Amino acid sequence: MTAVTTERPSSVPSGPGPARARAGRRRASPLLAGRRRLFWPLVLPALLVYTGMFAGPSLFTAWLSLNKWAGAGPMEFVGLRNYRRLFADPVFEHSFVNTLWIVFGVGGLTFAAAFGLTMVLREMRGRKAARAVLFFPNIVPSVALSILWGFLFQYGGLVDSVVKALGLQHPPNWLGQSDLFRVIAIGLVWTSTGFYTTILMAAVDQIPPELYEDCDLAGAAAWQKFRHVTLPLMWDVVGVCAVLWTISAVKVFEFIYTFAGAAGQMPDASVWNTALYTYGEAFASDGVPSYGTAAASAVVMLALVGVLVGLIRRVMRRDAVQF
Amino acid sequence: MSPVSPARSASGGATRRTVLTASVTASVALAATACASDSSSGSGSRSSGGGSFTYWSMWKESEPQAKVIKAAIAAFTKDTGVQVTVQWKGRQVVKQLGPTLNTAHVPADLVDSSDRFAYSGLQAVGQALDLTPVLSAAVPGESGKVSDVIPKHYLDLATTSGVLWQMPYEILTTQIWYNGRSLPSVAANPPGTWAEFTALIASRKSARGGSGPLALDGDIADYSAYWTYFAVLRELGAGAFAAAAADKTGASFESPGFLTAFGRIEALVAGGDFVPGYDGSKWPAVQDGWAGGKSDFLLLGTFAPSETQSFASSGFTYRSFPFPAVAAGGDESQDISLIGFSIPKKARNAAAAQRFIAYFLAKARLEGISAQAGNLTPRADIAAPAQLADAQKALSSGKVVKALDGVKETAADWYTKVFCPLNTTFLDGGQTAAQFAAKLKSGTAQYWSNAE
Repeated sequence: MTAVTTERPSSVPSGPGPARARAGRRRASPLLAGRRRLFWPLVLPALLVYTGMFAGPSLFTAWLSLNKWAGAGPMEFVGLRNYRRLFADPVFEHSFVNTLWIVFGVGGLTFAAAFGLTMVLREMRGRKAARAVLFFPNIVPSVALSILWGFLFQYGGLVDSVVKALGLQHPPNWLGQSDLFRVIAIGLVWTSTGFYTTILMAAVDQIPPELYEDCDLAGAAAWQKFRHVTLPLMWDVVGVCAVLWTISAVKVFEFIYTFAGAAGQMPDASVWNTALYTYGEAFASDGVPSYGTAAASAVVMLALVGVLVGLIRRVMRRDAVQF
Repeated sequence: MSPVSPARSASGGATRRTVLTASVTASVALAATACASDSSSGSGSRSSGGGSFTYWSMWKESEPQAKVIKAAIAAFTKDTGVQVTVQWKGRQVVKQLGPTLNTAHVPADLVDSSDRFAYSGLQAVGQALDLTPVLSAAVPGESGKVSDVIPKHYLDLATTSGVLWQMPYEILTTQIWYNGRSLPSVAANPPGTWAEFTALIASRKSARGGSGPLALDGDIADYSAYWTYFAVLRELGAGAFAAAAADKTGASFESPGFLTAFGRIEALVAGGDFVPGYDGSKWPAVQDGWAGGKSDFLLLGTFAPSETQSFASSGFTYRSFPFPAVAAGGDESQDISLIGFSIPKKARNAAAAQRFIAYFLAKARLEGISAQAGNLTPRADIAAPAQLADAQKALSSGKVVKALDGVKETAADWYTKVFCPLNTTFLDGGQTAAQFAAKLKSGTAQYWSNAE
């Protein structure tokens, strides 16, 4: 950004200060002056939108989390009571644990699959087509995928048929209450892998091929190539992917909602994550909405994202490898 | 970055101030224009006093109920000169209205919805207008008043602390549905007691080669809850379930009556009486399969025929009987969900909206809900559609109870977080009746210790 809005006297040498300032003034080109004039007109709309549509509602959510409110009628200030209720609620605790399972469990599987595919696809013929196929689930709306996922896994569905054809006469009750979250987790891995594979492969494409040729000459195995060449040279991208995943994983909503819920009802509470809990408290309950605890849950989600992203950035901090 | 001289800075500041002032002025002017246009558009409806009102509907324009209401609106405007602005909002209509209720300009004068949404979104937050005065209004084209045509037992279900927060125009009740064509013996002699019902299940199961004859889409928590709720209702009568839900110790669930009721459902689950896959399917697979003849009996609301008829086997004849009593002379009350009109307290044209309510409840208008939309109405003199004739007959005794004892209104959070997950496990065969009762007890006690 080249626009300067304030003068900083401390940066001006004490001796010939005024003279230099005048010289600086003379040097300000018409282009610079024009840019300065346009600064606020260009920034202001975005600033107003950002403040009004994002910062304002976020602050209001934080304020709401300290109140008891049904969405209409009077608002009652209750301090931290919503947070105390939240942390004493076993359903929230379970939802929070599910969220962590998604972040770390689903995330671990997604990245393992993405790295594996990256290694395989790097040397594969027709990898662009393969990449497009892998990316496809990311284009299709989650709602459509989750409905498809339901048909695949329901009793007597395609998955049951395949499993039976393989000789297992009593396939698991995939959509039963006890297995439902695991099937959701697999679905999330399926929908997410293509996206991260695509990003990681773009990073891999930037790695000079002669490094791999060098590895081949030295007789390095695929894992060794990945460990000593691919991973170090794409580390920054992996870091960005990890941050992106963390943010999106905490906010996972529609896949669970449409896959496990039906007929306008919330899914079974055993598969809720914090996003569904927040929605359930404020919007989905048939009873009086509890905007206060919903807002508190949203604030906890925000804090979780902040803490996890901070940790990830700290853990993944490395000196950039120049190549 | 280059330093900026004081002079330039001052002129730059002046420029920025000018821009800022201009922007703010423009924003204010735009906002003022928007407000002015809003108020001018609104003043049109206000200036005419009771001459118009705005109606937000829970129906989509293509739904049969919407067509009936639309015809009634046209007739109402023709007969009274009152203009009606209608917006077809869909099922979330009360939730959409919610954020406006704290403002001075509530955009809807009339809204219709399911009873539980009207209760939680309007009545529970003190924003529902008491519709009691409508009861004494004359029904246009008829000799009686509204209170003469809408039975009191339905009005009682929409009255809290003397406030009538909803005027019902459609009612739903839960029945056990079957194909009268393939089961003529059941049609001739439907089971009236639990013993007769279980004997019927056993014979049908045997006829089906051991496959359970009871249909249940177990992924819908409410549908599983109906089974348990009806068992409790029949054993302990209306209100017992709601009382147990509100019992802060949770101990009621371990009382002998509850254990007996739970035991009946446990026997069905353990006996394999539910159709295979009921606990691992995606709604509406099981109910569609039932319509296609894969099972015999479906416990569902009066919306069952309309939801399943496109999957029904050839010649399917919708018949139903109520959930059987424990024994002859036992509880036979019918659960009721209402759909009806409510008026927000701050509605600007409440009088016109009330006038329309009375107008719509006339037999000439309301019978469209039965004849065209295929649903039951609260008026006893409007014949039910053929598919719902059994259900209307079951309601003739007048013994009614709010669906699920009204816990979806009064203890919705408990129902969602405590009851439904445990009940689904129970219906899936994951726990015995005693374990279910014990977990309900501890879960309910824990819930209320943390609730407000």
